[in-house]
Amino acid sequence: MNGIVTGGWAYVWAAYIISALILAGFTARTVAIFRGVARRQR
Amino acid sequence: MKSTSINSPILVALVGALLLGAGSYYGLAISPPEEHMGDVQRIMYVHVPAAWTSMLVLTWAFVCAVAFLLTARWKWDNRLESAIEAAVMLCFLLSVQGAIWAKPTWGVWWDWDPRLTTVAVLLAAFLGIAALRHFVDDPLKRATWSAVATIVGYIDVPIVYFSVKWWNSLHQQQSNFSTVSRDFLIPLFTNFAGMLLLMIGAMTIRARAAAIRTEAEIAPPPQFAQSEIGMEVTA
Repeated sequence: MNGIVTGGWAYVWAAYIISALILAGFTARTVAIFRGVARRQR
Repeated sequence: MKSTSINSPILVALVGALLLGAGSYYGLAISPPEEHMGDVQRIMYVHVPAAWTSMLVLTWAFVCAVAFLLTARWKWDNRLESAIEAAVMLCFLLSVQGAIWAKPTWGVWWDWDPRLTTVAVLLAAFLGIAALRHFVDDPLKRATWSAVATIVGYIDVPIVYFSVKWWNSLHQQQSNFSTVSRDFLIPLFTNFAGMLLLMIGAMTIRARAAAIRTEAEIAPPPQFAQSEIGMEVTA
């Protein structure tokens, strides 16, 4: 690696894992809200 | 009757998730490290798609707010509700990714830089609008107030975009794609398509949930409906 920033992989993994968790959490929450609302209206 | 099926938006979200997985694999395993920043530049493949998607979602929220105020049709308020929540999440995601990228490149997690500050203002504004919707029970007041607040909050979006050009910013300016390597563009646009589809799927599901709730909120009481409309209303 020729870059001037060293130790970059820890930051890269942190960014990808946190992004995946936030996006997955948001999507799961959205589905849970829909199921909750649909159940109450039945 | 509102649609109670979410199979199609779930499929769209799944395709988005698959694209995000493929783009991330390309960005992490196939794309070469950037010359100056090295491997840490790979954060761009999730950070920039999040930025583009957040700008599109915020613009959609603005369109829904204007459409509701002009037409007074509830479908626009349902869509606005879903867009506001997605915008809050995306602005938060953007800020977290930015902080993680800032530490190794700028030496700090946070700086009161024009781009970072204007995104923080955007996050605070839409968090406030989401809170407003949560605490107002009257559907019409909730829809009208949040539509007006969204239009006011949207003023910050072009300021975010142009902040790196207008002021002396630590944040880099937008790149010219003609000067960017194909190995960088493939994961960038794959992840952008993935994140956009994931948000379209999730926002459609959330708007349908809002539609079911709104329908129940604005429905006349059973005895009123029976006497006024002359129809038997069953529970």
